Amino acid sequence: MQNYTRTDYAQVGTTNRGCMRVIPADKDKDYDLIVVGGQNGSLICLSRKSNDTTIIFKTQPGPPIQSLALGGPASSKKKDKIFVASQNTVRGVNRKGKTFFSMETNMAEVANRMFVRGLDVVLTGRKSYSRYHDTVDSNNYLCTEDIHDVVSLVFEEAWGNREYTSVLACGNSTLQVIEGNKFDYEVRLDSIPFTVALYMGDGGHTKVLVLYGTKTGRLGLASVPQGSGKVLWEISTTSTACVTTIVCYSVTGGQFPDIIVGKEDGLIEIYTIDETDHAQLFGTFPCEESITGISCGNVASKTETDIIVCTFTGWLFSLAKTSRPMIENLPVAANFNVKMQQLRSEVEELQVKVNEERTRYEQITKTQGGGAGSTFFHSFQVHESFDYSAPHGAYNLTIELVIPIDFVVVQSQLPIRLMEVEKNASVVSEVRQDALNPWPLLASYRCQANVCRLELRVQANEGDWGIINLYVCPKIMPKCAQITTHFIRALSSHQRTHDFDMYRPLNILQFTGTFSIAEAHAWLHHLLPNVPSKCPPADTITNNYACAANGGTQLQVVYSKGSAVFRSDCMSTISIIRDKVSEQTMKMQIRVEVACELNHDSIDHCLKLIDPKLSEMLDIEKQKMFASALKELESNNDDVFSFLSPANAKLLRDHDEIYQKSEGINIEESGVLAVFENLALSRAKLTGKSTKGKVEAIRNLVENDYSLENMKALFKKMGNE
Amino acid sequence: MDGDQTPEEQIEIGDQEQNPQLDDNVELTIAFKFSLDQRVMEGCIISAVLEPRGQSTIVAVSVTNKIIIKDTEASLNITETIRCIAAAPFGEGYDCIIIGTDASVICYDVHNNLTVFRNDVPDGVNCFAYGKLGDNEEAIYCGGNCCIWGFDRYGANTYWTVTGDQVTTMCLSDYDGDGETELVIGSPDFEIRVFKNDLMRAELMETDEITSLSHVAAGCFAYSLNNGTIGTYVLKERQWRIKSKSNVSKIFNFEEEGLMVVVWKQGKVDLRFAHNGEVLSRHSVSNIVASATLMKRGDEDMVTVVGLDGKITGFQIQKATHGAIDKTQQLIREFGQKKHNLMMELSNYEQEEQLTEQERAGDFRIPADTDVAVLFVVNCESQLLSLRVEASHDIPIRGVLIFAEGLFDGESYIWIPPNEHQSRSTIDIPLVIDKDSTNDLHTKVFLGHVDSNKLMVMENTRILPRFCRFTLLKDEYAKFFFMPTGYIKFEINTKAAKLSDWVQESFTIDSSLVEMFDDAEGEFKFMGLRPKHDQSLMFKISHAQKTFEIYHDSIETMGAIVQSYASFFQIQDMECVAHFPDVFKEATEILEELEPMTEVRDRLTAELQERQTAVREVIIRAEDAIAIDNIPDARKCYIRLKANDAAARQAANLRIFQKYSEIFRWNNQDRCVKSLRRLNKIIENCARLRVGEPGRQIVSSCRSAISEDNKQIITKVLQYGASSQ
Repeated sequence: MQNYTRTDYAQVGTTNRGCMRVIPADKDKDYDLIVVGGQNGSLICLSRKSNDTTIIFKTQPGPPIQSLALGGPASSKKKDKIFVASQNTVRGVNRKGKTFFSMETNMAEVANRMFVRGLDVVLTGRKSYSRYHDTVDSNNYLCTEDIHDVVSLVFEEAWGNREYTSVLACGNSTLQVIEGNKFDYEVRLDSIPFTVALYMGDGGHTKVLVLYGTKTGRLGLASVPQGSGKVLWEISTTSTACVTTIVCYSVTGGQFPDIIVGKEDGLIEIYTIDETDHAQLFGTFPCEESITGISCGNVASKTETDIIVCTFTGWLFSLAKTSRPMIENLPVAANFNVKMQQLRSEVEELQVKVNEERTRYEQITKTQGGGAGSTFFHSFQVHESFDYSAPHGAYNLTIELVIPIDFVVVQSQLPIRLMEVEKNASVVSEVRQDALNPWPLLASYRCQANVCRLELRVQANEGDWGIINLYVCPKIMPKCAQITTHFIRALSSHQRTHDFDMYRPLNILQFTGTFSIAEAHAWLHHLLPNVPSKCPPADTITNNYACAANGGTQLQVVYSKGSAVFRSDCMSTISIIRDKVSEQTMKMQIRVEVACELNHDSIDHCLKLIDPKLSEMLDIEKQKMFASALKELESNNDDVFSFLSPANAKLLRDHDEIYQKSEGINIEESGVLAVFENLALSRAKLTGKSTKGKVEAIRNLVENDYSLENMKALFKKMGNE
Repeated sequence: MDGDQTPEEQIEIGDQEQNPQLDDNVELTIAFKFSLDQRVMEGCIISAVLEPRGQSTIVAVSVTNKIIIKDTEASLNITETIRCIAAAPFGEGYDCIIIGTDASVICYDVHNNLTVFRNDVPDGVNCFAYGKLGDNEEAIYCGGNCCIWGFDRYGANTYWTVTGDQVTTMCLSDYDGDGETELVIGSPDFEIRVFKNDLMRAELMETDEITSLSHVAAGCFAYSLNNGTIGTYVLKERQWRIKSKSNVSKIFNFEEEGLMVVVWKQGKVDLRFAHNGEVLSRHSVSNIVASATLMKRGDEDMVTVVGLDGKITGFQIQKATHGAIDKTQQLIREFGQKKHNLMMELSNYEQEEQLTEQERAGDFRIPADTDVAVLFVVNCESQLLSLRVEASHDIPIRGVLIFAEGLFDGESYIWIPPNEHQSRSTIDIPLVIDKDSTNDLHTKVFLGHVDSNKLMVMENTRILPRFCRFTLLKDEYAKFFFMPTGYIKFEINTKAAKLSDWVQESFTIDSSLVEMFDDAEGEFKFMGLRPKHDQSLMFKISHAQKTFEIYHDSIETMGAIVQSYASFFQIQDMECVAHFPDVFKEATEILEELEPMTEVRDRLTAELQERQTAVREVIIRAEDAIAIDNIPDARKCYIRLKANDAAARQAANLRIFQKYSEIFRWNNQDRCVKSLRRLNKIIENCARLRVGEPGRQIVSSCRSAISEDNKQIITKVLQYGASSQ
């Protein structure tokens, strides 16, 4: 998308996800309008004429607008009625700004997401799903997991005898298909879906195709006909950031509508679709703020489609092809100067006002002596996310403010490592832990000018848990900071999965005693990521997990009143759970019996799982050494290929690729060594043996003479000691 | 699109003049790409014209220690480890390659395939600069360890001086705008030193190791630091600096004066204005950069960036095609952002007015007139300097953040109490400082009630005095005064009228006490603070005798005090008598040791060469004979070699001897180099005890004394100055 240019339209204040739409024009000769709902509750409608943004209407502020949708009578094709959800009410506003409809629902939760079609309004809260038909509460469903997004299938003729069907994006990595009031089936995914959209805007040719975007930046297409559904394809997008918005609209001029994806890290990606419904990356456009909404239409040009983008911090801009005639796109010099002058004087005026306020504030602080009165804070919103990323083996932490960030201090209770993030241009500085500084990690990030979004990556040791505090300080007067807190879980590299293989060699850890299911749930909440904070209403709960860091060992947790059973093929996991749960029960003074059943076959099994990862790294290291030696041979001989063996000749030919591959490979940092070490140490700990000398022996073997067999022998030897 | 367009930093708009600079729309575009097909050593890339009327080409050093010239098959083998290369126009209308190794400088003429000269440089060469320095002829300047050498086109040594540390980078630039170029050198000890001829003209204290220097415009040079800072000095003053997290690989100026190219190790290439650092255009390469250079292609200069993997990318600079749109859009956006920020601030003031008392109370607010005092305090008992942060109204301090370049491990120090409930309203943060340098401490103090997650931030800036590790001794702590043995004595300059001003600015001292430094007579004792707690300082002033004596044992610190004193009172020249028995003794020892060491070295080398030549000759003759099919002669030669028992034994012995002498030679060499380095350092330290011309003379007299083998005189010069001869 090199030939696309960004044109800023307006700054509308912070927005929630999915609160901006392009309204189709009333008459053919008019341009389309943009409507956007802010977190301050105000609904703004804008038009773009001769390179200037004009406000059509603006409603009074109120409770934050959570979701915005367009609708219209089912009979008419035109959808230009604006529906706005905030708290638990839905309002309908026409294009003139008049409220023509208002509905207070009986939802207990805030309506986060909304879907509108004809007379149907579908709302989801954190866990609940409701459908209102002609303002009558028609369907309800209570989900056990967090709901991130919702769409309904729209093609009524295709229903047959199917009831009103919606698809929920759920926190347990599934798409749940709801028919009427009941759960029909789920489509299992590998990561948590965050956004769903109807394929091609209407569900595709079968009308049952749904696009989804996950928290890990994957994009997929699922088919959800009656009875059972399946994933047709799933691809990685260009970054691992969460997909926040998906729109289908024809912008590249292809045969089918394109898929436009907006992400949390500010990337906008366009995919084209071929006849077989598969997507091809067309281009990307970076914008430095997280994207909350994308919509398309003829906003500034009759002939070319504008992609309108809205960001969290409230920037509203269009992406349009640069090939468009200059006159349309760019203010001519005179015009430009006028505009600049206008802006300049506006800024100056504001500056004067702000200075006045500052002096006034200063005077207040001076005159009110003797501790009277109080300072005030600039309350600012900290928009942040803290998620474990399996490919990086670390937590991704993003902070986004509506005003530029000055600096951020990271303070951690547990030893963590800060990892390099290419996008983050701020200067980092760490303070060593010593007598004066008790914190295992204390660091400052000083931001460059005009940075509103900061991305950090932190890595913790598996088994460590604790709190990370961030002191976020924006560039604003009077200076103030906010502390935000995040929790690192002991088994952070574990992810929820759907299946559990009972045939692996399993170690079993069992806690029995006088505890409630809610208490057991609370332990879990501290141990594992993505556990809902509230205990689901059930007698027995079973959850499955897979570890992303050590080649894929698994964990099954079954808990009920008075019993919690953990099954895992990895002794390290079992050891961590035993430590942490004991710690918790001690603290809460609960008496529990602990039974631990070890399966020593699981050691070899674990070694086998991690072997490919380590072998690959060692191979590349070796190849690199060979290749560079061969390279030197080549430079000293005229025709090396005449006498090199085919294997060596290939190494020499692949010299550059090998080097490229080896870049970024670092056995020390990859955490592979830690997997072996933890395994050896946990076994020693669980069997009550000495842990001395084990780490050195493993390191020594990896450095000098690694093979799966040798490692197995070493572990066997250590086990017999 | 590479996602790499994150603005690294932006220059604030608004305060500047109103010039959207739409006319200066140039951009970097990729012009060519090729590969050397060799991995390249970092920093070792140059462009040079190697033939008369030739085109400029790329010369690089491969990781296998060979010199590779683009488009030529042959590569040059150098036996010693190469550290740096340069090009110098020593040929008739073309360049010779200058190679710096760990032991010598080699000048090689590719056109004639001959070594023009090869000079031993003990301790090796780290960097080069070619050009005209002051009134000297054009020469190649080589930066070594604590010393700098200059050689002319015939290899004659035209320049030599010493400096305080290793020289990692150099450039020739007119620092003071007097029309003559000065030599600007950068060192790992955070200092940029400027030499006018062989006189040190200035020392510029920076905040990290200097990684590169480059002349970019008349009276202006650019520098980069290890911590990611770049900046320029124009006519003695720092013009601007910008810090980022990346590291600079190379900076150079681009055809027109006033533009500079900054190439970052991570692959970014920026074109900037030298006068304000503003970026005109950015581009990037995908590989890790080894170095970059300007190469002529036709009439055009190309920015040529070479990666560690040997892949070369050339950039040309041309009029921007659609940059204009981006630029206006960007400008509009910047204004928009600025407007937005102001609006936010304003709305916050408005919001504040709407809040009820109750809501305010819920915020854990702190009294409006809360004040934070930041001051330096000394704990005499533990001889520790601390920064005391004190909040009024007993407001708990929840954290302190200090930004100070070059003072801590990173750029900041953070203090946060072990838990919120231990927050106090007074905090002492110990400052244990390793360097004599003045520093700005920007403190940010977080204030707030223990349960609040919203904190007020109080900002404050304090200047740390250069010699903050010394404080006036109090009588009750006389036990901490250790009379130094080293001292210097000099005449009080009439310019130094009010000593108290300098003392107050430079030492940790209570302002109420400084006046006594203006007394006609006095002895002032200073106590050392950690980590200098066992080193004391004393001033002895007598206006009657017009003498000023400073007693202190660290010669480095003493030098710094003298330089600070001189620059504060703008004293141009100052001679002194120095007394540092330990240092002078060391110098004498080194000189005595050096003599036999050099002798042994010379003898070994000579013997070795002689024997090697003898054997080589026989073998070459034999091979020549084979080549011309003169088998009988060849046989004769071999028979001579074989039959002659003595010769065979000699060859064998030679091999053993060679091995042995190699080790011996290496040991010897290593020691020799270390001693030399130390000697250079001593000379430089003693020179710094003087100011201006007397300081320069110390260096030049020592140099001539060493070269004339007049070693006895050296300690005398160090002690009494060059004029004592």
